[in-house]
Amino acid sequence: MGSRQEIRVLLVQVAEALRGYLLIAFLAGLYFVVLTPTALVWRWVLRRSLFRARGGWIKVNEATDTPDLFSRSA
Amino acid sequence: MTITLGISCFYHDAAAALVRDGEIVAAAQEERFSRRKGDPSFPESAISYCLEEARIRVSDIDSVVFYDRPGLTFDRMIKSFLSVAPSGFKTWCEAIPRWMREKFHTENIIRSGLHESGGGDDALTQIGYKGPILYTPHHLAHAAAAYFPSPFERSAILTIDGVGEWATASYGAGENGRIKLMKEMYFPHSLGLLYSAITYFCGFKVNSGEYKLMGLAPYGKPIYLQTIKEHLAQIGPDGSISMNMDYFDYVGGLAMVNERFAGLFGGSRRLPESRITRREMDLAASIQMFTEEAVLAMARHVRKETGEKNLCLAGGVALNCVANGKLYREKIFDNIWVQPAAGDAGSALGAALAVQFGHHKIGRPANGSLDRQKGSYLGPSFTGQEVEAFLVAKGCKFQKLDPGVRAETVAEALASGSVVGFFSGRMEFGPRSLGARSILGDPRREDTQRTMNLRIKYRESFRPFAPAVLAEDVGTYFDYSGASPYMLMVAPVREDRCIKRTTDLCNDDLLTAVNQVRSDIPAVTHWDYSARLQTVHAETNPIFHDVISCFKDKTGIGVVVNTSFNVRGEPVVCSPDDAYRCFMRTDIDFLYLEGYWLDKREQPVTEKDDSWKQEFELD
Repeated sequence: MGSRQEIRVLLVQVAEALRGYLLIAFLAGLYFVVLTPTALVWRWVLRRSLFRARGGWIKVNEATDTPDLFSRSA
Repeated sequence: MTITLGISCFYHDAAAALVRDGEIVAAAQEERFSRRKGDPSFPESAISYCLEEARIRVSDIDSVVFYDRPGLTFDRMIKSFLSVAPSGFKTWCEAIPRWMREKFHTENIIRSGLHESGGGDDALTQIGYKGPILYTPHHLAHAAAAYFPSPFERSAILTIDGVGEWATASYGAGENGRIKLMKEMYFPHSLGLLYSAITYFCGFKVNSGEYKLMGLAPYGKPIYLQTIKEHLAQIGPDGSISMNMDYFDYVGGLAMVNERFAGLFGGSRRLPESRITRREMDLAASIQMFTEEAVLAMARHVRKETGEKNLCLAGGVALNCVANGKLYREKIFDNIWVQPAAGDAGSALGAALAVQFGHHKIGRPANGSLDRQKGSYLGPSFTGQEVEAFLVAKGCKFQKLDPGVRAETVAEALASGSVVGFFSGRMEFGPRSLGARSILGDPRREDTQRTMNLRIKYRESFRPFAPAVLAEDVGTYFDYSGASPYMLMVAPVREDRCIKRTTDLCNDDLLTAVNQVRSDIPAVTHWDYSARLQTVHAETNPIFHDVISCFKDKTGIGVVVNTSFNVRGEPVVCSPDDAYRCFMRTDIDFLYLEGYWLDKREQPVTEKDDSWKQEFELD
């Protein structure tokens, strides 16, 4: 009974570690395969980057005194 | 009747606030209940408290509002990664799982949280909240927290913080209960993040150490001001900030600054808890001066653009009371009101107020003199019976004080040099203790600052203490004539009370500097003869006002030392249990607990055990 319990604990630990590695692999894929090429194109073609952005006051485009403002989540 | 619940969470300092028909009913930070400093998690306990205080059920709430728009924040995050990829992977690995766990599910978390919080009993738990979940732009929440509780009918509004969605600062005007934001400054150009970057470089914690940096500034000389202006950031004539991102890492990295930044200031960052050197003092002085210049320039611009005579301030940078004091003395605006919970916790309140006045269109009468913040005493309180039941259960030795002798007893102890833990009425909302959850001391004693810092608060010896002064006496002690009920203004101690320093601070010896007597109220006089003052008003805190009045009768001084009731790294105490624990673990001599008086010498002896210090992560 004791050894079964130990095996179960071990399996859970292995599964958790595996899940961690899978998550990192997924995130790495997303970052290096999808986001990085997009970023390179974005920065090169559009000449855009937060590093190029300038400081300064920018007009608020959205009216902040309308009741429906609060219904938008983004 | 219209009830709105405001929530801020998932970044730092989670909080909840409840507003009914435009009146602030309750507001509290989650950290006070969870006992985890700056707790960012969903504010379940704070919500429960708000419902309990208002005596309502979840189903009675008309609207729930979140203080930020997660979609816009995600947009900023993705564009930040697009700007730094392929580097930035470590930050990506930290950020995305957090988004997947929490921020993408904000609405679900709020709904299930409201289901679980429910107001306390099982019957209510099953009801849940069926109304809309609303979202307010982050800086509108700050602006609302500044304008709506202020005493002004019309006013300019300026908000400055690190970042919220894309904005790092904004300004506009409030008139007849409506707010119109006019312009914003965008990430990565941020006065708040610049201050935090130098806080980080000086070895203090971002989002809490900024206050220490401000306290350290008077010991230094602003010799790096020109370096900051030439290399790191420029202030435009309109107060806008343009940062040179070659020196910063916060767009996609885990650190605030990079090696080039370190190169500018002669080496790597100070390690936390290591010795503070002249460099950190000079850096603190330099960034403080830069901040003051920027805030003043912004204020001048806002005054010109809006034409308003009053100013409402909020956002984390508005907690920089030295800059606020300068702003007050410059007289750019006739009147200034600063939201006491100026950081993100206050945005829960701001969001709720914005929805009440902007979405539900509730009218807002302004009375022109008193504000609507209720002294910021918006948290839980405990009755005498509850306190007595706790003390009896704990086996404490205590004395029940008659109402007529309460103030007298506390003042007597203070006048004899004792330190008193003072627990009275509703807990404060915001980072400052204002006489509801405070540790009080005698400002006349030379050793008070050192004793309270090292033996009670267990914090850095250089950190100054604030004076709580009778509102009617403020001009007797300070070059200041206005009200500062929320400890958000720094003013000079009157020259005739100051004692000229015998030596200057020519090396790194902060302790010698701290021990020098600088005025006849040395415990609250900083190195530069300034003080972060709180004016105490009989209208908002009569008991505390009585204590100081009695202290004045005994000593001739209408000022006491007021610091937050906690030790370093611990959230300010909330309940009698928290207060008693803090009292027993430190060198506080007496505890005033809602009309009950405890003498440390009479308490049950506890085994000397300092392991509790590990409970709280150092800030």
